[in-house]
Amino acid sequence: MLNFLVRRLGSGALSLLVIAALVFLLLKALPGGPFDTEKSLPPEIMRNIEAYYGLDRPLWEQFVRYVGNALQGDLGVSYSQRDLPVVDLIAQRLPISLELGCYAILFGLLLGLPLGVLAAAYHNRLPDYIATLLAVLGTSIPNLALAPMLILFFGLFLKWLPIARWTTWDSKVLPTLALGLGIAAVISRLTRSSMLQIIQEDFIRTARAKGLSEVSVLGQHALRNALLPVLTIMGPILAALLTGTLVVEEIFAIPGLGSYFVTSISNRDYPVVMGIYLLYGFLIILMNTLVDILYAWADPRIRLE
Amino acid sequence: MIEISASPAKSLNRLAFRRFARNRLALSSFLFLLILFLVTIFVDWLAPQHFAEEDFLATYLKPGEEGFLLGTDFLGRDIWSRILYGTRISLTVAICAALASFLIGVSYGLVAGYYGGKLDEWMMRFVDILNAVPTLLFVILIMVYFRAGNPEEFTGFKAIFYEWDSQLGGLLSIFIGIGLTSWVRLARIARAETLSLRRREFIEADLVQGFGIPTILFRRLFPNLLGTCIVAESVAIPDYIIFESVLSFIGLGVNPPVPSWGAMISEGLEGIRSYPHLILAPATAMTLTVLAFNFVGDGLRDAFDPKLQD
Repeated sequence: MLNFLVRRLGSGALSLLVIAALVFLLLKALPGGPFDTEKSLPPEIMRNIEAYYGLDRPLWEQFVRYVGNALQGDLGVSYSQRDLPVVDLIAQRLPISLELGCYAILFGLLLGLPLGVLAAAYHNRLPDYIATLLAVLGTSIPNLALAPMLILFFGLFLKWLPIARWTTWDSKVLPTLALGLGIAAVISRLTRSSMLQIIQEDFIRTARAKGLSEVSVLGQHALRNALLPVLTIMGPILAALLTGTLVVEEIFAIPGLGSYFVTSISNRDYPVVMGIYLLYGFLIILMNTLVDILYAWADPRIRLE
Repeated sequence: MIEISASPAKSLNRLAFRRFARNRLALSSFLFLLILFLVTIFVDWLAPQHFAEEDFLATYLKPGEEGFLLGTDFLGRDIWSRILYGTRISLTVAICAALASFLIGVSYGLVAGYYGGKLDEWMMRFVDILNAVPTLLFVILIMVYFRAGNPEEFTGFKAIFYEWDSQLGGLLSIFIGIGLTSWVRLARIARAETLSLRRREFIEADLVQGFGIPTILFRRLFPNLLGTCIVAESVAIPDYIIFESVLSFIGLGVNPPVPSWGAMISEGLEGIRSYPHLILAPATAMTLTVLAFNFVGDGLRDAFDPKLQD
């Protein structure tokens, strides 16, 4: 187990380094800089400033510096708001996005798992057809189209829920739905096919022969095994969640990290863009690594590879 | 006397075609896509107006007013025409990005799978590292680079690229952006297929006969990969359409006034309370198109699936 852990963490760190390198190179290649003011400074002063910030050093040395700074929590200064460090700007917005993300995943699990189990239990009967239809729709309709439709239907037509804010609990329902429905659809589809496979297995037959109730057979013995594939898909789900927040936060006017990312792209505020990008990369690699480790802990066969 | 009756040989493709035709959902989606394809070609004659034609005296009209089928937007442009032209954008992105991704991915996978050994190991390691980042974020990064800078200051290659890109309304950078990031998936599949095909006798026969490696790669291995890879790429096309829409929504996609559905959703967002048709039209169009591509992709995959023998 330890061997696997070390290998997995190592490859995760390597991926993060590659992302950091890409981000850094892009930051260097993009126009604009912290010293672009209307008045052009005399060349001697420019040289001094560059030497102070290490901008005249070779590229690899600047990169090491960049990574070192980033590890200590310094991601540079925003171009548009010169006195605000990028980290502070991110720290304001991150909790909101995390909150939205958690709600979405919880909703996805709470809706998707039972639906999947039901569909498998009533295979080829009505609940199965309904669940499959919903799942297909849920996985196909993109966030970009689903969110406005939710707003139009529940917010403006039925007027059940408020939109375009993130304050009271009912204002958080629609964004959670917008992100969570897709996740629920994926989870329900996977749970269903996984359960269908497990039900064929011999140990289920044994459990039934022992006289256990169907609820116990399905809910305990079958579900536990069926959850493993769901665990593996958590990685891609979390990544999709992250990219989903870009669109959903923008549409629902939620003051989170995603909408800030979009705004800073429009403003060409590159340090903020790159800082958030680095954070996203870190989060995704972290989550993927955690999921892999969790899965290896749950299924001993994986560790031996 | 032993009678040997020869039954007509049914090729894999013909079997798959029949299986696909029996899948009603996939078939009807395919017909829908065919209609969209025709719209893409004949849009200049089908659309009542050009997509950029503005009329400041006819802004924010509701559907049905003054002969505008779906109303007008904030600049007085006909929504129906813009939706129709948007089909051109989405379908073009779907095909061209898929082509770019296909070319890069299959070449990479072919080389890695054929040579094997250390080269394969390192190539796949590179692929694994790239896999860590979700594609959309990667595409955004590339588009940020493409859309940066002052066009007047471009020289040489950059200037030429910018010229071509603007001619296409910003689509060239989108194809390249999506192609450069999405090839990874297909590379894996192509490599796996190549690895399994490499050991076959016909390759050995070619080697013995003295055919060079490029010939073997392209005239023997590549045609055998085609079926699996095309199906794999078709399944990814809905993602490409969504990428382009999200890019245009953010502002990193097509250049205005080119009507991408994503851009239309972004424009319609402000007026959502009073003018829901502005956002409903592109959202519906996008949903239907993505659904159709999804069903066709699934149908193709099921049709070519060797496990589903009937």
